[in-house]
Amino acid sequence: MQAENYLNLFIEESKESLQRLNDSLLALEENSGDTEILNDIFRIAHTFKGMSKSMGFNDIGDLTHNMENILEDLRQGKIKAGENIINNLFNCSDKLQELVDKIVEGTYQDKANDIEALVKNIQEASGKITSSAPNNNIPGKSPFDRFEVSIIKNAKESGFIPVEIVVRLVSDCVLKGPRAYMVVKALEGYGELIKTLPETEELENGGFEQEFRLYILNDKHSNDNIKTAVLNISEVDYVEINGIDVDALEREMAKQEVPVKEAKNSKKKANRQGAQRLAANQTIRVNFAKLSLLMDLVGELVINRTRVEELSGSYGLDDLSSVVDIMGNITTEIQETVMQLRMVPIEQVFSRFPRLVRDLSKNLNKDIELKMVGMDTEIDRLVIEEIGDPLIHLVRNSLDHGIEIPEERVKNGKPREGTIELAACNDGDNILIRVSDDGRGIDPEKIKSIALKKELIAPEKVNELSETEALELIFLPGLSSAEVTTDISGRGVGMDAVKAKINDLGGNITLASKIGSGTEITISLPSTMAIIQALLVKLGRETYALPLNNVCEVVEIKKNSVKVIQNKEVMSLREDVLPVIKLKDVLEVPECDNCNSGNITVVVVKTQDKYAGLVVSELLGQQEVVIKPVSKTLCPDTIISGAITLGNGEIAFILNVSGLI
Amino acid sequence: MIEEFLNDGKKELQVVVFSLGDEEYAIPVNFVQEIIIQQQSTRIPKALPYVSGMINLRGNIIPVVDSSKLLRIDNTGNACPGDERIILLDLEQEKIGLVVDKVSEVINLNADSIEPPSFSVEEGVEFIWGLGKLPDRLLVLIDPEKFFAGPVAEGRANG
Repeated sequence: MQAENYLNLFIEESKESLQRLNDSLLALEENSGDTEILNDIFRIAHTFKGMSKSMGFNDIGDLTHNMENILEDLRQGKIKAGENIINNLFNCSDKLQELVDKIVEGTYQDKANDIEALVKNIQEASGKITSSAPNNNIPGKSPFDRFEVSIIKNAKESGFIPVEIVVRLVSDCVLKGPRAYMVVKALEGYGELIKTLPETEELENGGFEQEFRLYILNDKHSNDNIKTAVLNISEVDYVEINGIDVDALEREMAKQEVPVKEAKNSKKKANRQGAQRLAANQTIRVNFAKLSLLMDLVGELVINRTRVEELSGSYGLDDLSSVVDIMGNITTEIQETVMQLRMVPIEQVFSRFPRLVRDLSKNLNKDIELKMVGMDTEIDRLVIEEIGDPLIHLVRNSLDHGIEIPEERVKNGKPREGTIELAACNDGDNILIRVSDDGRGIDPEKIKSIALKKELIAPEKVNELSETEALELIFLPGLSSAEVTTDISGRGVGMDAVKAKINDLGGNITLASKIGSGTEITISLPSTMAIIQALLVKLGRETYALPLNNVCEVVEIKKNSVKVIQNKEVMSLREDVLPVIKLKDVLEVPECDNCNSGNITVVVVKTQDKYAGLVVSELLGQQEVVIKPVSKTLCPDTIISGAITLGNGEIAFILNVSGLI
Repeated sequence: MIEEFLNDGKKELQVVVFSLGDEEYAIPVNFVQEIIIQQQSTRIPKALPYVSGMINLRGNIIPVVDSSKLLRIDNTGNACPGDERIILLDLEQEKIGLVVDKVSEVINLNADSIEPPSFSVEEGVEFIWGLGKLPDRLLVLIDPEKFFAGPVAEGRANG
């Protein structure tokens, strides 16, 4: 059981690490010289190595170990992060993903994962490994910071000789860390150790290739003595001692005045990041099932609060009602807090796209920039899980069909680089997610002709379609507008599935497109799926709930002001003409007559930019309701989006306004 | 579950026996969560014809199915008012309530007394998986997991 717990933890952490690895690699690709990013990647690989080795996943350990090697070379500036190397690192990250997936599935086996080829590629890509002769000079830049230089200078003035000692271990050395430690120990007698490359801690963990450097302030011992002392340690292959030119160091310091500042800044930045990391660690992992249970319980609490409020109202006791009020406030707060627990930033979904776009655009030889806006928009965790696939589909469509190849773009006077934008924002109780591109757009005529050819629409109806309606044909099952089916998209099984998914989540999808200048798809989703504000209405003896974010206003109109235009009932509200929907007919409500007097009550609702007036018998008021799902098998119509229990224990149904209009 | 029973060669199957009109039916007890007294349900607009509504059972909202309509039995008005029960089934997909005329008993059915349906099963009633032969009675054995699989969907389309 315990091992399983560790395994779960490992999987969770690996997934996070992989995502970060991916992000950092993308950043590195943009900014290949950035040591901060390199350090970050190195850290990730290192943690990964540690975790997987301790779990006994040796293939992952080996792979990350090799990644570490190449990263170390990059860090030390021995090699440059060219395309080849970055691609190799991406391949490694893919392989790691694959291996972690295997672990999740339980099909992982050590020594059966074919990592040798990758490892070989990495080693080839890094080209020069340290097996070549060690550098005699301090490589490139001085390894010291200002403070260390001043120590060296002072030491020299008081008679010590600062020296650099280059130590190389034999190539098949197993215990690199301990050997390095022994070297450090052995040198203690000869003078003060001021610096090691890599840092001491890493050195003692064996975090280096065969070679490392030590800087000591030699206490008047001969170089040969030192050399012998080090060579006496087994597995030491080679030792070299170089003097340090303090004056040169100082000159270099002076030259690097500005970079030093930067280095300090970056240290500050590192500290800040450290602080952030600390803050991020102030969290605990909670099983989602527990959270859902808590949510359900709070739902019950909210229902019963309403019940208690009704009761206390009917008894009219002041003492009771004030206590009930306080309890009501507390309940509201608990509810809000629990709601927030479920909310996660949409970044969790968006973060997979940079990689996807990068890979696909390379695949398709397109030049594409991905912009992401509103990453911190919060959305229900349940929605997050469901929204990923539809979004991937939309982005792939944009990449594949939307954005033209660079030559075509240039010919049409567009910038060579295409842009895809993923944007999220809050809109009342809804979340809007927009996927837009500046590609070739969708031709409604083409959609029409395909729909005709595939017999998805009757020929006589085609000409009646407005441009928007024609575009929306794309959501019909079986319609794919791509002339060539690629393995990326274009099998026509997509857009209808996307629409179905969004509708299932209680959302809407709309499409706008202009030939030649791009396509914009907007998804509107409820930000939370569990508790909403609703307007309760009565139809005959039945009660229904309308989500309050769909309700614009309630008006009383004269019965005879409903007019019929083209067989459709409409009413005019100020300057607008709205379709009128008689809910009792749509819902087939028995014994319902909503026009006893000359007036009828109309609830004006909207979804996206469509408006309509719903005729109801009576308004009951506004209430917070907890949505419970209604079986889709038994009730396949999209008009009902859920059920609720009222304060008196009765059941009412929530109407899906977008299914009505 | 039924397949498991048939393949495992177990000796006995415990079933809940209920009646619809003059016929007796049985459902394996494993599917039954509880049996409650018939209560008023709330109509679901636009639901399938055999769905009679939703009930609120201790805060859980559960759809209730009219079993005579679902099993296509013509027995309207045969039930004694006080005898009607709702059998709450805990199926893999969801929980549903089955309205029946009467629940009589829970019995152990010997594997030897179960026969596959001798008639060719009519389309849309695949949930009948066998007949239980007792000395002077015949039980129609129901597999509720098959209620919503395949051809019943036809009834949905027609309804």
